[in-house]
Amino acid sequence: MKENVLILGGGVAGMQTALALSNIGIASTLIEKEPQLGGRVRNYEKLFPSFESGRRLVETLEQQLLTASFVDVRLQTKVACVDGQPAHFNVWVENHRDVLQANALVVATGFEPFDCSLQEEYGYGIYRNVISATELERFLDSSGPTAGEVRRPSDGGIPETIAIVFCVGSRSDRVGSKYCSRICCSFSTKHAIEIKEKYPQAKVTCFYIDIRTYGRGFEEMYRRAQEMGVTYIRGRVSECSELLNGDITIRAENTFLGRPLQGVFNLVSLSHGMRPSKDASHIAGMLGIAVAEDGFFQTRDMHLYPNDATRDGVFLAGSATGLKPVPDCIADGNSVAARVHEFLRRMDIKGDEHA
Amino acid sequence: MPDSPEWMRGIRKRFDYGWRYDNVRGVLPDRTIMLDNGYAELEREVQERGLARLAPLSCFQCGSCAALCPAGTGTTEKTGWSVRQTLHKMQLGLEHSEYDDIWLCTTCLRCSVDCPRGVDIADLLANLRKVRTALGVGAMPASIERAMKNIAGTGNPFGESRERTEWAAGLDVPRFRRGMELLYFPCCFNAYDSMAKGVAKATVRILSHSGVDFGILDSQERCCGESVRKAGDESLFRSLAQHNIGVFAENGVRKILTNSPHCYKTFKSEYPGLGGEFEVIHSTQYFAQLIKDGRLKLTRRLNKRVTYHDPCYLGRHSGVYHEPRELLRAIPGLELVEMPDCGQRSLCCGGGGGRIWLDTQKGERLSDLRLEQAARTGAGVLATSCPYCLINFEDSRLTGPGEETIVTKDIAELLWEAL
Repeated sequence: MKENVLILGGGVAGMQTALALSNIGIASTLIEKEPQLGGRVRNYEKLFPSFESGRRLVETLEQQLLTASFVDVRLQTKVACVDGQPAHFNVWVENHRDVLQANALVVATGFEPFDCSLQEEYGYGIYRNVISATELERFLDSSGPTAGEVRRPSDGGIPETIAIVFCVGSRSDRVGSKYCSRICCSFSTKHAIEIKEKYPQAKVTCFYIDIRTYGRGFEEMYRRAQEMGVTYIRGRVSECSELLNGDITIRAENTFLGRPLQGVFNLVSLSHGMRPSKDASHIAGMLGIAVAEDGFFQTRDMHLYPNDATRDGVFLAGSATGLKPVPDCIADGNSVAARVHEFLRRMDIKGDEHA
Repeated sequence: MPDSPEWMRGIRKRFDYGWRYDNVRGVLPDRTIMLDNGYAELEREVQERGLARLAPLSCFQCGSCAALCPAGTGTTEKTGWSVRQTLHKMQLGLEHSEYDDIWLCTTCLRCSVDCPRGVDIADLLANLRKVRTALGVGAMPASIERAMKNIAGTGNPFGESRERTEWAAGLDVPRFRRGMELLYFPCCFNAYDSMAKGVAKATVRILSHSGVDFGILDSQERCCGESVRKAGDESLFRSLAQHNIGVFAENGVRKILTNSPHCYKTFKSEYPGLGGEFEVIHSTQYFAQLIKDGRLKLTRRLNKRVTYHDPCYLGRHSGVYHEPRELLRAIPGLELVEMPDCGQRSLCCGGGGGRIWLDTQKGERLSDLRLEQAARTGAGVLATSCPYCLINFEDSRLTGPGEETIVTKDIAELLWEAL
């Protein structure tokens, strides 16, 4: 019997899982609902903290997948139903007649951005020049809708004063999620640097609760932003309001000075947190695995089995278990390959001799 | 529903939420800081006038500077001083208003010792005063203004005559001539102040005794200008510096010896920027070298227990910690004891940043605290090597309740006693 692993999600975690499995001679079917691989990273102009191209990273992985011997990529495909048991799963795929056989399943379905209109006091969807970080990322994409220029939605002009609001939809009992989305402080600082690099005269101000640029090279990136002249003010933004010319007034407590602060900006970018992907509970139900209280997939043990789902033979990679930066997604892909390999041997599943 | 985002969004679409911000001031006192995004214009103005960049960009407001700032802990209730908050205000570009008493800062640099981001805070604060002076904002305290006027008038802060060498009367001190090894430059305090004159006298006696080839200049010299720059009068500083550089150059000066760490620092770090490159040495460094070379022999015993106060401008600003201690240890019979807050963590006497000319209220004088710390070591003598420290500590002793008997002396004076 030919061994096969089914990977749900063709973002970087899923892609790396497929590659890592292929490198140890295990075949996989990589299923992706969009018409291309690469998930969200595909459209990131720059990754933090290296400022290298997200697109090029994805293309590198794609190149490797093309030459990988044992990966079957299926785009615009979704899983409809799964039955069977660990080491012998049957997977029905939407719009296809065939049933896939899989010995192990990998969930790499990623995340969803928080809907900023839920935090109504910022005026997202009401005030023209309040945008989301996802939209800012599109502006910054040199192959995107504005060819890499950051433009004010109200008049298409280049903004001179920009505010970046941290922690939108995260760390909140009231709206969004109680957890910290982990990477937003970092991508927000990345955005601030990208803007200053493009427009050195621009005044960029960040409003935050804490700066959680915790990873390797992230603190250095934060310092770099400051030394480029980005102003950081500790104080969660309370409210935005719009002026007649489209400028946005921000009101926030400046906790450094213990007084409220008010500032006017041409453009405001809301650095929103992330939610679990919309399909998460549906997929969990299909696969017979648990979802945790925060909505992301539950791991078998937080410390010892961070890549195992709560059912034997099902594994988890990437932001499906909580937001993480790209290197961690790649590491997850490699870890999952090792976990799958161990599982298959334990279940005595051997592949055919691959020449 | 009134608690749903959809309902709230509907309301928000209909009204101008900014109306309340503009009209609250008619109803309540408003402490709101208005963030002036025209900060970039101020930066341009600052650059055009050749002033150093104003904002401490890499400060991340951790507050390490503030808790041990000497000025932050000993002020009257009316004036608040937080160096951390001041730095943040500079980051926001609030130069035109909103500064609590920036004249409380002595530029002691205690703040920068532990700053994780390496911000030169005292330098920035001096720049802040400079910018405010240049832009005509904020008044200099009256007594500092007076000192500035005197310096501009007769080259010294006391308004005394230009003749700087009266302290040398009867000492047969050579006049500096081209080719001599060393110019001895006494600080204005060493030249004019009755207490600090003793240090100048001791210094030249030691130099002569050791056969050093040195001389002094006379009324051509003016104040080095260190505290002028700190007080924010950049143009006066430049004219003083350029004048002194001219005088030194004309006379063929190559190496300058001074007792004052303030003169030392300014000659060493600030004069080169205006074209004055000289070798600068502090008296403690020079004397230590003389002892090493065997040219200065200390033979009389001084059976004293002595503690040493590191002056801010010699220690933290200039990194000279060892030579003063070497000198004290070289004195026969002298027992050197350390006190807490020594070395890099030395507690300022309160004289820097122009404050030597300010009348600090009793109860707010840093030197009172420091003197008590020194006395608690059981020492009978507090040794130091800065005229401001000397004057402040002796003042604290003389105006104190009478319990402190610890006497402050400059190291030069102690060395002279041991010859």
